[in-house]
Formats: sequence, structure tokens, C-alpha cells
Amino acid sequence: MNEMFLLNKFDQDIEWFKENQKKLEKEYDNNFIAISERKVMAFDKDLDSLLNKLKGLKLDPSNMFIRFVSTTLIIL
Amino acid sequence: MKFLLSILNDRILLPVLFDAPSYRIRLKRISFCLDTGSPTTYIDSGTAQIIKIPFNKLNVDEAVIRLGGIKFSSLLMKNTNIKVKNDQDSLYTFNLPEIKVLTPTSNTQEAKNIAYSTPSILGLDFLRENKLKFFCDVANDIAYLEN
Repeated sequence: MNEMFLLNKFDQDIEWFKENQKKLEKEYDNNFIAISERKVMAFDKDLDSLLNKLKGLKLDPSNMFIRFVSTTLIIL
Repeated sequence: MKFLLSILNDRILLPVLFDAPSYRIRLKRISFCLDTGSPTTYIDSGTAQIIKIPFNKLNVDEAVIRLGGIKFSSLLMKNTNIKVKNDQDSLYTFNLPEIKVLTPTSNTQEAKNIAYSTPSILGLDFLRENKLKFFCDVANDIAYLEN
């Protein structure tokens, strides 16, 4: 797959997350969510379980925007 | 040349394609969080798992890092690249001769949760080595790196 295409797709998923962040935080509080094609493809409280779900759906996690969402502020 | 950054949840992100052919990792998507308070660049353990970094092929770094109250071992990946989009809509490749990969020393669920919710970090070392300037105007949602 074209490198620029991959990066543009990534940008679009990040942008979609940004636009829907508040809604997603409420709906998936304290879960990992996997986003691709501007959709939440799967979610789980545990990353290992999420990766297994994606495997079951025959989706490649490394081509997704995976993020932990929480209404609790995480400070580094 | 400028490299646009995304501001997400008051974090500054650089989406990249990560390439490490000697570890059989090709063009995997990672978003690094730019942290000027961090002296070092590293890949978090959640991302390491997602892109299937082979831990058994990495050398153990001596440094033990403490983050969010838990201890991480630091492993070293050598000769990797990140590909980034620039303002001329083309790709630019940065070589990372060495990058740390963090993995929690404890296997408890709490340690895993903290480790997996911690982002990969682009530290000051990256800016220094690549002679990059950092511009940020949070109020107007503008951030970029420039060389």
C-alpha cells in the first residue's frame, strides 16, 4: 500500500476521533477503542482482549488508530 | 520544511509510519506524543504489542524508567526509521539509530493498564538530533516542527 495513502488514512482517523472525542469518551469510558475508516471497529477494557477481537474480525491492529479513552484525565 | 502536528486532548501528536526492516516491521502506524519535558524518545508497551515488536530480539538497556508510579524495563531497537508527512505533501524520513521500547517490570493488571494507556513519546533528544524547532499555538490549534 502507498505510504502517503497510509499516512493520510491515519490522519483521517485521528481527525475523526478529534471531532467525536467527547461522545466517544462517554460511550467507551475506560476502554481501548480501535478506529479505522472513521468507525469504531472494536473496543475492550483490556488491550490484549481487544487485539484478540480484532484478530477474530480479521483486522490488522497495526493499521488502526487504537486509543485508550477515559473521562478521567491522564497526566504523564 | 514543516511537519504538522495534531493537537488531540491537549496532547501534541505526530502520526508516523514506523519502519524497522531488521526486525521485520514494515510501515506500521504509530502516533508519537511530543513531550518537551521528556529527555528521551520511546515506544510504549501497548504500541509495541500492536505492531508486534519482537522483544526477544532487543537488547536490554541499563536504564529503568519510572512512569505513572510503575517501573519499566527499557529495551533498545537499532536502526529504525520514521516517515513523516511534510508541508509539501511528501514524505520525509528520519533515521533513529536507537529507540527505547518500554515494557512494565510488573505483570499485574494495574501495571498493564498504566503501561497500555501511556503514549509513545517523542522527546527532546529527537528534536536535538534532527535540529528541529518546535512551534505551538494551542489556542489556535496550530503546532508544527520545522527544520
